Amino acid sequence: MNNLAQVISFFVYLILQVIFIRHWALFDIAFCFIYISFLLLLPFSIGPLLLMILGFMTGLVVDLFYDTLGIHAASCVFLAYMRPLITNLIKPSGGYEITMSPLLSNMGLRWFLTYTSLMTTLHHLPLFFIEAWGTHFFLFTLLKAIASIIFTSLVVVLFQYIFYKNG
Amino acid sequence: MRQLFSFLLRYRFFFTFISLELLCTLMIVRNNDYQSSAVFTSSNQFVAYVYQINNSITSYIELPQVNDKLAKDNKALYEELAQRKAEIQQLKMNQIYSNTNFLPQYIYIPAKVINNSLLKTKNYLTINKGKKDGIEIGMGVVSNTGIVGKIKSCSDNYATITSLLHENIQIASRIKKNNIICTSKWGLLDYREANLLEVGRHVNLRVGDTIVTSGFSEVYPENYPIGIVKNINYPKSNSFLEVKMTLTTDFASLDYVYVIKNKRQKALDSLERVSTKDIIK
Repeated sequence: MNNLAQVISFFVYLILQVIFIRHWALFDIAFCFIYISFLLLLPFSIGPLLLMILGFMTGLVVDLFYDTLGIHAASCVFLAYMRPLITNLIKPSGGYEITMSPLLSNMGLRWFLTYTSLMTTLHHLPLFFIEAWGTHFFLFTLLKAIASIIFTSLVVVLFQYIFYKNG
Repeated sequence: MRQLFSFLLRYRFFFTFISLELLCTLMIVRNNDYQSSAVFTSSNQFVAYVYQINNSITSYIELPQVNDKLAKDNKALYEELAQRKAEIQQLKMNQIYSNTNFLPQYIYIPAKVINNSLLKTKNYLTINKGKKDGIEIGMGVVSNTGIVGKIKSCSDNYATITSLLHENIQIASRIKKNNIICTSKWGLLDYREANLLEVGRHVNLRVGDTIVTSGFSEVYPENYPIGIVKNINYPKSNSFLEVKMTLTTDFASLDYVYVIKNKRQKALDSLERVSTKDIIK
């Protein structure tokens, strides 16, 4: 994938998020934040600095639409900072090919599922707890976060099957 | 310097991460009401805690001055209180002078019985209050439980009461339950009993009914108890009932009595005098 494809992907995910998926709420506790898929699927070759700046920008745009200035940005920066560590942690025995993107078709379902669920957790937990700003409704917030993690991960994987078949 | 740069370079990702997160935090706090208020509150609490400690130390040091100030304040308040009390007293006095008519019609003057008789046909009591205490001839006297009599004569410090147990005394009475008027008169024989006169045969009277003052004479207050009906005879030769009643006042053990001063007595007397003159003419 070239840079143009990434830019298009950026806008598509954001528009999808802020126009359609914003209103999704399963059982009133599960929310979907599909836009992080953009950050998840950036190629391995991208530098951590650029990744963080992209994360910050993505989060900021989502925040503007959600009227939660800073919350998504903080979560996304955290996600971007953690991404290299996670990929290093779950590195397959052969290592990564530097030009590759972490797609389902490239990495296999097992790796991709692990990767997605870990990254989603790292994004959603800060997101929900910053939003709650404290531990008043700790269990409820945790419930919302876990439900949303499952929901978002599922959608990310589904998107892989639907739109990224060819890799 | 180079080491610093190399340090920053080595941890450039981490520092970027930290600075970006700080930027986000700044935005969160400045742009979201809930978060900003929470931060504001907790920081306020911290500040308040520090101030509290500071204040508790300084206030202990300043205690002598505070005591002096409080003493001065107390003095000023006491003086003001005294002033206000004097004013209130003045106001109350003014009120009494202007509102005489609204005060109770009767004033009760307490007195101690110092002499008493029961067994004559003309019994008198003596009490330890006289003209100096505002007692005048003709005033009614009552006990806690019922009528006692009427002032016959008074000196400066003592007064004589014509007891209810006197052959010449009659009291305008009324049957309490149906307001029928009658007259009470002692029967001369027993200091516990009296007769009820002028009760017609048609009157519905039962043993146990209460007889009270009618209030017509203005000597006694209205509805003051006199006696309780003990027995009723229906004589053939007379159109009136023969009624005996138990006096509610126990004359044998009379200790304290109340002399009744009727404030409207004078006006009433003069009015009656005028009307009698008219009749005579």
